[in-house]
Amino acid sequence: MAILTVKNLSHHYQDGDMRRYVLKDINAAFEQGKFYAILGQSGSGKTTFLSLLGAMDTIQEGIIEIAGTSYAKYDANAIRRNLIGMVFQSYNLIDYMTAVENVLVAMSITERELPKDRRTVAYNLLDYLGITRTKADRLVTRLSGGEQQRVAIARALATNVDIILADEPTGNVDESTETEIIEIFKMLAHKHNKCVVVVTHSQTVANEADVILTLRKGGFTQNE
Amino acid sequence: MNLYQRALASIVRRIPKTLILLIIVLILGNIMLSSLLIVQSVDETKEAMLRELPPIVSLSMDFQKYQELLEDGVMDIPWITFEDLENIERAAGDYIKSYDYSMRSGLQTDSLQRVEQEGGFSFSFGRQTFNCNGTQIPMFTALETGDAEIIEGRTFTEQELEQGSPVVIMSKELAAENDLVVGDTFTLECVISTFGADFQEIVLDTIYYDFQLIGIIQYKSLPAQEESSGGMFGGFDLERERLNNLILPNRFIRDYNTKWMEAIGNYYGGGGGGFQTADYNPLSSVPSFNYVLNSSEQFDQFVRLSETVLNNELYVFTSQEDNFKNVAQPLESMRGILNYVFYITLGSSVVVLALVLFAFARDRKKEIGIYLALGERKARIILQLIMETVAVGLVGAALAVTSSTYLASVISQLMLPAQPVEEAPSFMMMESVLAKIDYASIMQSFNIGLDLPTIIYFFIAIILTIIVAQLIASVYILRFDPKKIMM
Repeated sequence: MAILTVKNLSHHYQDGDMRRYVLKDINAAFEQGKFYAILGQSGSGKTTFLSLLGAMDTIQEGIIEIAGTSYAKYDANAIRRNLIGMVFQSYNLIDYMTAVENVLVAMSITERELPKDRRTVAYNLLDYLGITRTKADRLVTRLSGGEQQRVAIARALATNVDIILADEPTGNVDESTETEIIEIFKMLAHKHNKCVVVVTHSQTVANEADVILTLRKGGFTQNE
Repeated sequence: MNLYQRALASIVRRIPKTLILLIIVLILGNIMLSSLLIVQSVDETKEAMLRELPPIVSLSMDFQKYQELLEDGVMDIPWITFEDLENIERAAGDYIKSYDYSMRSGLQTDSLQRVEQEGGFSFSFGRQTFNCNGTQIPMFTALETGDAEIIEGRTFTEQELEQGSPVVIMSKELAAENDLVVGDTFTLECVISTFGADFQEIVLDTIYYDFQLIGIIQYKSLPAQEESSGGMFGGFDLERERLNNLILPNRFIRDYNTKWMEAIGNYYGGGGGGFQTADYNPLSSVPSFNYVLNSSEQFDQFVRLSETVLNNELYVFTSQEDNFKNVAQPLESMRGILNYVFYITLGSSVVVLALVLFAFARDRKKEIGIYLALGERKARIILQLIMETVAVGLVGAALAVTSSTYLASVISQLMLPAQPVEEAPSFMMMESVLAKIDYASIMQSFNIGLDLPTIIYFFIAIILTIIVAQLIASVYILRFDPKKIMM
């Protein structure tokens, strides 16, 4: 059963008196346990689509449902806080905090039930993603790009959400790190039953995905 | 990593920005607190000095207006009347502990010797001249205010005051000069005279009074006068004249003045010279009417009620506070300026801090975008920023507390002259029972010091300023769109 359902989703930008649609009547369903890659040329609407899924943009037309409930019934902040984890191309970590503190920030914002010993959970999560205890206590600015992206993924997972959305997560890393990141996403989908949706330019990422959705002229074509 | 931990991390790990904010608050805080301290210190000095002074309100003639009336040729001077005094007593009697006024006259006689001091000169016109100061009550104003005390004998009885008995109280110096002791009776030959066309004295009448000395008083020293003025008001030695005063019942002075008016009136042919005994108002010789109130906090109420029944613009009420303001003019000016400085700095602080915090918020755009992308509420983000700035502000304010006392001392030393600008003392000042405050004693009482209410007030002002500035700067944050920042 799809955890994330998109129905007749359209999105436009106003260009003078003209409406320029970047997404037009899109329908899609995303299930837990699967790794989705969304491909498309620049300007095809990939990032807009992901921002709508991530409740970072306002839905103009159509419906997005999470576990059968429309986004319209939630506060957008609450969706980001409690239902979705996001990973960005440029990591977007707070630079004066350590790796573990960045993870703890997300845990302090969510309203989801979390274990009491959050710091231990955060250390374990980072360790699971390959960030040792020593590195976890370093300022994020002293970690490599790949390590920072792992911290960003740990932060997205910290609130124990079922959906992970990633915007060009391998855009700033080298090939070997890209492979490691892809493995993490696959592991999250297949081993931890997460629904992982990644917007990417990378064919390497797409090749590892369970489902590839390609955005063209405002609509999807799908390859399994 | 809750809100407090996030705020703390931001403060201790973003040292340059924390220091910038700290220094700004320290500078603004120092200006604000030192201004506040000086204002408070002036107020406290005034309160302390007024507390020690008797709560007197003086109703005195405005000599400037009087001069204007004379220059305009107004002959019908609107003197205070007995009816006016009764109206004031009726309207504001609840606040009055006692009131007194002193009718004045002068006696020319050779029967008494004046107390003369080295370098002084008497006002005699060939004879010894004595000022007669009347009183209406046994506890006359000089006794009530503590300016004089009876060291021998007694004060007047109600009966003596009512009948205008020839009983007198004088200074111990005058009594000693004339070998008089309490209980002695002595005859004064009082001459009423005027000057003829050739400036020769014409004696109009001679009256003989048998006085009894009932009390001897000792005056407290007057405030020290400057060397330049030689202890005199326009050549009039206040100290010496005071020693030569004869204190008598008002009723006696009133009767004597009436006789004087009649003698003068008869000489000038029943009103020729402008003297009209029928129009004579005995209160016209009274320089001031002194009301001793139950407490110094009743000045305003007393004056307000009295003014409703006294329709006379020639007379003004003056309190100890007015007198303090007059003497402590440099302090009052400094207080006024620094009061403005405090509020201007307070307003400027909001603007300066808002601009700085706005710049900081721009600098933290990405961080705030991350919080928003993680679903944090904007209100909580603003709360975090407020906690950060208030925490830094409190440290800055605490540092300002330690340094502002010194700064306030320096500012007050720079702004206050060692001596006030000398002004020619007026007759009104000379006569005023309020004129007991001098600049030197005010400056001795003036101390810059911190007290808890001032510190609390300052901290509240700083915290509110910072919060308002942060809220203004946070308007920018409300417009943040996480998508534009993060994607």
